[in-house]
Amino acid sequence: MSSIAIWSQYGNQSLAVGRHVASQLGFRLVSMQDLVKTTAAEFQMPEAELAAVFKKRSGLKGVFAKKPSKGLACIEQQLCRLIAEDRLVFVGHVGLTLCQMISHVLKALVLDHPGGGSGPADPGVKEWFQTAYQEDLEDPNLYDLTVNLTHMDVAEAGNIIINTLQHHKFTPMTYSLKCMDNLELSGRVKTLLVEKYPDVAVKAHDGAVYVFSSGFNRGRQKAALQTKQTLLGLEGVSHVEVHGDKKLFDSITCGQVR
Amino acid sequence: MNLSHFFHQPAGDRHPVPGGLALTEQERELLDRPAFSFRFQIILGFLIVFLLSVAIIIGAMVAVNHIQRRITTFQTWQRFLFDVEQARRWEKNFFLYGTNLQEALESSHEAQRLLEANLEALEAISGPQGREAIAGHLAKYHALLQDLYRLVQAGTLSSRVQDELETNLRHYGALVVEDAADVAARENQLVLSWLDLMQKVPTYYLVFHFVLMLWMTRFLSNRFMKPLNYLVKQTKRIATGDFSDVKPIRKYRDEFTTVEVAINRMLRELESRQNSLIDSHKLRAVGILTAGVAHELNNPLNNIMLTAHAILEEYQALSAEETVAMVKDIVAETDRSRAIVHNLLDFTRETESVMGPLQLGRLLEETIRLARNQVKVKRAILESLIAPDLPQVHGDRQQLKQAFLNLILNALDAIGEEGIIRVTAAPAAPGVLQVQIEDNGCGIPADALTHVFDPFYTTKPVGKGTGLGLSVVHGIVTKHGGDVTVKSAPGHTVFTVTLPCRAPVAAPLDPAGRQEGHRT
Amino acid sequence: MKAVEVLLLDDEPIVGQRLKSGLVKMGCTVETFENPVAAMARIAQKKFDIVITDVMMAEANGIQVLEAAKKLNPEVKVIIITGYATAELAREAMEKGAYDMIAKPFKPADLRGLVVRAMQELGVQVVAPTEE
Repeated sequence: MSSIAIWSQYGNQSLAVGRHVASQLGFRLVSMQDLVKTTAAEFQMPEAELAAVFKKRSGLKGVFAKKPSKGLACIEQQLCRLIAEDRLVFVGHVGLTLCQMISHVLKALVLDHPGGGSGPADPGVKEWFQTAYQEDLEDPNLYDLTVNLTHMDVAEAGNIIINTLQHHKFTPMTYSLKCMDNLELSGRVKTLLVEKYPDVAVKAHDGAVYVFSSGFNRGRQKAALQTKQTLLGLEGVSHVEVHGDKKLFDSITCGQVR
Repeated sequence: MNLSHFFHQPAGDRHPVPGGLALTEQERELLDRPAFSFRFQIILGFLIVFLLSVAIIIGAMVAVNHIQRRITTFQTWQRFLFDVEQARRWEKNFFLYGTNLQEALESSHEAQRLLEANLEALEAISGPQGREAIAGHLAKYHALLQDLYRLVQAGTLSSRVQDELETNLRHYGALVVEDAADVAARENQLVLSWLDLMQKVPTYYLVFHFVLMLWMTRFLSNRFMKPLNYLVKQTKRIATGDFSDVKPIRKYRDEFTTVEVAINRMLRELESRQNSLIDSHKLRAVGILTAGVAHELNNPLNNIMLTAHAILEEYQALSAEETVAMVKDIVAETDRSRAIVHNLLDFTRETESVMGPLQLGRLLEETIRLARNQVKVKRAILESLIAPDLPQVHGDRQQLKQAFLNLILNALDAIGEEGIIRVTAAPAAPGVLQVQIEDNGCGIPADALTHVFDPFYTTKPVGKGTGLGLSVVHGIVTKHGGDVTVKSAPGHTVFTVTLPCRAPVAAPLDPAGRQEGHRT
Repeated sequence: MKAVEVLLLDDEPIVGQRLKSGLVKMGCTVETFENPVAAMARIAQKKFDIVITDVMMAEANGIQVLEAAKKLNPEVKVIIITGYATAELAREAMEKGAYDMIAKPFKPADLRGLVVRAMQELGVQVVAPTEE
């Protein structure tokens, strides 16, 4: 079956919509908090470290602090696993690529009037989204559906989402499931490498894994070779290519990079 | 003044080249020309004026000095005249009253002394004969006076002798007075003429100086304005995207040579920028194409995969012939994959710009093949109407390919559903080939139309359907001596590229190429 | 037992050649086509249970074939095989009633697996599921 991702900067109201949808369809509801919690359990990381991913990094301390890219990679990886388990309603704002590439995930944006029932928006969410994905959270082009709580109540919005999900186009198929697998594998590889190579980009296709990082630049063959060996030991990996040249990597992966 | 400073200074020292880069042959040739700098020209001009003024002033001083001497001489002659006249007055007194003979003699002597002292000056005025005459007359007069004096002193002066002496004295006295007056008058005349000259020369000089200044102003401003106007014309030419070098208009080296060398250097910099712009747009095109090619590769890959699995699964059941046929399929599909990749790589390969004779039809076919996948993805139709036996053009294959590819990709960008792109190539006039790329897309807004080809018009993020690398197209086509124009209305946009070509060849030189050109 | 009627359309002849034998072994009657127009004409004549079609073809595209087949027989299971797979195409195909979509290059067993699933859904007992 399909899954639903509800994105919004209005935490409470969108969660209410998600709850309605999940209960109607009998899907599992996962909020941002749930996601962070399960990620912490899965990867044995302190929750605080994961929560720091979404903290605003301001001032001198923010500039010098280590980028919590590992945390984000883990969270996205966890989301990927959850979605692969199917029948899921996710309410939050991570995993943009995941949602864009998988045709059977319905992406809904929940809008509200700033003074509406959901209370003030969390401006940090939009800002964080912009820095993390270089996209506008409320850009309707990113979504399959936009519901505006200014014009309807939570149940109505939930029903619209449920009705939309009935469209055949959100039916999973061999191709989209394969995309999901690829995404899951590349996420797994990224989680593994991101701490050592913060700029790592990974693309996986049917067990073939393509990795880029400037850390594998010319003259650092040893690191590349080592990484290759590590990755070949992973489950589901049949072929590994490690690149230190971004242009080459981009042309190999046609720009579809996780 | 050390003129060699202006003429023989080594080129490199006086013209530090911006950036301290090594000089090219052409720059060296320009800078090695004999120098005739504007600084020197200006200094020379003012030097001439200054020297003229100095000459005039020295002349004036000399003249004043001369006049001074003339006046002294004139005064001498005045005194001489006075002495002579005095002598004659005393002489007259003597004959009337019998007195003053002594004084007459003294005056006469004084006159003679003056004459003796100024013989040379006299000769300058009256010539040797005049001098002889005056001296002779005076000497005679003086001698007569002395005779008279001696006779008076001796008391032996008879009245007959006295009459005779008086007649002679009168005669010579009158002559001497006349001569002295004449000399004085001449001297006076001379002084006056010099003074006159002193008045006229500065006036003439002033007029001459004025004219000279006018001429110099004109001359110098011409020397400045001509190269300046020339450079203005050249920059207009450069603005249209023609990056060929600025040719100096003077045979020698001046300040403008430095400017021209700097401009030429800038041009080469611009050209290399333009080339890197071309490269970056090429990369962009490659990025677009790669996606299409990756998809296209999936078909032969799928064939290979299916065939290989068929062999794996049914190995026992297959006859040797069937297996061989399948392996041959795999080989053929691998070749096909390689051809697909090769076509892209061929375009991507960074090659030095090589100009050579080209079959435009074939080049267009290759370009269309490159874009074919994009056309497929867009579900568009690409029609090509390429006239057979097109004459050859002279150009860079890679660059022209890129120019046409950019135009096709641009058209692909502009079209919507049921898009049709038409590529036509035909001779337009003797020696001119015309390639048109038409599409039925959204068109280019009128206000953007005039800007699409502007060189360096890349400041704005490129909008959909407007100018994907059109300035690059313009640059490439201009470099090939051609021209690119655009006409646009919603639903019909035409890019027209004209290129100069060689005269049509009667017998096709490259039958293989032509064959391939008409395959698709 | 009635044979399952399969139409296999791909402008790459090798696809038809290689897939046909495997499908026949599973108890299908397979007709292969390289021309989408001819295939659509055949679909208009005969009722197929399963249609397997490529998307990017010169004369018509697979989505048109899908639409034509679904219009004549809403029960038909249409499997899309394409070298130009994207999320958009996947959604378009599913929206228009495709049964499944698989991206090229695929293993013959992958496609046979899909066909088996489709046959089961059609209520046909599969003779020999050839899973590897």
